[in-house]
Amino acid sequence: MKRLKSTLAIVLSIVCLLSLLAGCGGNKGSADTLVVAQTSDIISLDPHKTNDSFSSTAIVQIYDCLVDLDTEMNIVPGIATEWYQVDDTTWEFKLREGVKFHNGDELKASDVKFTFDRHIDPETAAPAAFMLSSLESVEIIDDYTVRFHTTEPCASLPYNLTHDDMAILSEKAVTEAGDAYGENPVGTGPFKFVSWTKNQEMVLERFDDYYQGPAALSKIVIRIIPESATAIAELKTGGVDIVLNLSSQYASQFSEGSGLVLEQFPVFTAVYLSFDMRQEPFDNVLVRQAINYAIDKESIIKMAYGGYAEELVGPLPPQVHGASQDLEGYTYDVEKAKELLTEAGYPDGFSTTLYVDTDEVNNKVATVIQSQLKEINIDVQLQVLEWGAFLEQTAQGLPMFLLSWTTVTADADNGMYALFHSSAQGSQGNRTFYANERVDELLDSARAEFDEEARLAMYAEASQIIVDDAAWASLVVKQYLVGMNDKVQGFVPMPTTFFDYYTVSKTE
Amino acid sequence: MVRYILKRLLMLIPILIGVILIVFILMQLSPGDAAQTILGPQASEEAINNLREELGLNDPMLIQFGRYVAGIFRLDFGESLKDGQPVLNKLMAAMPNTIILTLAAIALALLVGVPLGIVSATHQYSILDKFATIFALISFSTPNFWLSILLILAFAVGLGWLPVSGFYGAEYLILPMIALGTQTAGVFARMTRSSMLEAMSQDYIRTLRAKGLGERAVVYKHALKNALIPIITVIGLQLGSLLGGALLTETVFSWPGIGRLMIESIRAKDTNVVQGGVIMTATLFIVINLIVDILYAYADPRVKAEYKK
Repeated sequence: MKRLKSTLAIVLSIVCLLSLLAGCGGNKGSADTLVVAQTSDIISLDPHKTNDSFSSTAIVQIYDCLVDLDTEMNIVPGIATEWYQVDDTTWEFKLREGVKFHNGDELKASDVKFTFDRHIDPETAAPAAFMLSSLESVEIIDDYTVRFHTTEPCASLPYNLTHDDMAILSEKAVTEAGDAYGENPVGTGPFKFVSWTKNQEMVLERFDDYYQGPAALSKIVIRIIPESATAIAELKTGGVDIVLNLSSQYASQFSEGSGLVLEQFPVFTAVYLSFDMRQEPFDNVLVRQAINYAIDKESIIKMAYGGYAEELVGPLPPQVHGASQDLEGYTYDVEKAKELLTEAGYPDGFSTTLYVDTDEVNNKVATVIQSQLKEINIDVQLQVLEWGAFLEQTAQGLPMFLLSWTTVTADADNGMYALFHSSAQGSQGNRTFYANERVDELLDSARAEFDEEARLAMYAEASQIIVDDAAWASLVVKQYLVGMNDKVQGFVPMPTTFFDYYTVSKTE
Repeated sequence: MVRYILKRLLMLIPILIGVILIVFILMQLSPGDAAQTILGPQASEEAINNLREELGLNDPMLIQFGRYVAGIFRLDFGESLKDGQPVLNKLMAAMPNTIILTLAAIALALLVGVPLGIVSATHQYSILDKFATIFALISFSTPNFWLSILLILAFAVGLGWLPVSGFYGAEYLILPMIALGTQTAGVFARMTRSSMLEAMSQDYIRTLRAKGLGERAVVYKHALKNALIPIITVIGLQLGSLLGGALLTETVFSWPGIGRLMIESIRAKDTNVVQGGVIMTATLFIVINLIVDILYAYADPRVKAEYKK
């Protein structure tokens, strides 16, 4: 018994010690604190070290870009008040005066130049630098005017600059912090960085000198909760206010009267089935068309996405700037598919392998496709590859694979050039090894076309050619689910998945 | 005794080198390129090559291995491929949380499991014994993940007594401790029962009873002490495996420990963190085994006598 008592005493003293050590935490309740849950930690607060949605949650709040997107995907002023094209390869941006960094300094043209010089420097190895591949240099005209010089005409440059990783950094802060900048960020955004407990939470606090006026919330806490069931339990008990990127299997928890709200909206992620077009039998357009006719997107949406997805017709999600709204796609028609397959010389079908990464939903999609292609006697083996291996091998060429592409800049150039231009074959994005001279020509001249209407017409034409060539079997546009409690007001859903909490407030 | 401990400590070195070699080879053999994984599907070939160069992935495997081992002796496990942080910092930030959870769970399991085992043994085939057996069976066949979610639903969502997840204070420890401790308690209870039954059937117990010693003293002073060795072994083993990070429990409760760090790093193909983590937990496991061996000597004079030879 004595032994038991002493064990008990030890346990109790451990518990007491713990409460002393960690007793100061807890971020529940307060009306002007927003607690956001996401499954994985922020990687860095240096926009030149990241290109992932987990880091964006914080980066969007801390920084500002030269230009922004509104909910209709129009470009609106940010730090820059106006911008225009000087000549084919030069854009000029006028900067707002009096924009303050979190350290009190004013944002000047030199900070803009420094930011982009650093971003495109190969030494920086910035993961988002591919969006600036045509940027040659930034020139300072005066304190509030900069010019962007590009190596080739780049009509989509303003769109590229809306990406959260194109945020403007403070030259002084970056230079002073050196390698530690990723944990000591200084931006001009509505919230400034306070603290970061790795794998647990990050705290941001309102920046009172924000150039658009102070935000409604005084504090944002980003919590890392890997398990969705846990995140929903937190939502129900008031431990968190917003859960980002919920899986559709949890949607039923958001029934009416639960006090919880589910926001659902399409994002810029196109999910597609594709082929290595150099390999038999996929070098035959009739085979690719047959596969397109054999796929029933509706049942994919139902079975793999629980209804939370939309049918994709062409290469671009319909919300992307430049997506043609009147493409003629393929309808579900098994008889037609069989006819085409016979015409192609495969009356008895053939066997092939469909490669897919380890993602659970993608595997469901692949299984549905497997059974649908069985209907036209195409015998599909499924092969699961770990993500890194999957990317590596599709870049070399795999017969059939399931992949998705997110048009991060909201503009057709990002959503099509890397995927369909013959110069981008392999790891850059064109894993289909698609090559069509007319498409190349259209994608190239669209980059140089500054008449917006003409530019969009080029993307529409290219899209229709790609659909007719059946380079992909376009499947679905993903929907993004955000769970919230009913106290949260003013959340703006964005298909870019960059959510700005400047407009958010909480009711008691 | 001291010589024995020194000898065991020296034996750590070849074991660790073996562990490092195996982990290193496994990570090299696993498919997928770290640079490609980090940069994602939109990266250019040039960017991937630059990053490979920067991370030293283009060097021959032997050179990478040599560089790695040399680093470890300076306590340098390299940098995380994901965010550039030193691996040691990441492990050191996560380890205390795992240690706290492990110790709490083991303490709970001892408090519940050992008395339960003793009572089962002293009241063999009674209702209590049957209850204890059923408890033990259920507890170690309940999936940890499921139990964790049930605990959250009952005590955090339903009753609202305890917080759901995270680690901001002692109250956050209670649910994960129960989730993790329950299973271990079942193991301890079964072990204590069988080992006590064996001790109680020995001749000296009969002698003690015959000379009129009280039952309480017989059980707790004499039988329990002799039954301790297998129990200590099991405690050591459980301690070792829990310190490796209770992957599922830590994930469900968003516990910022080593198990979650490992899972995230494996997903991100952050080989440096995975290697560092495995080496660290392997070392801990070996050290705990050593401590258990030394404890034998204190629990059992016969073992102590062995060492002296």
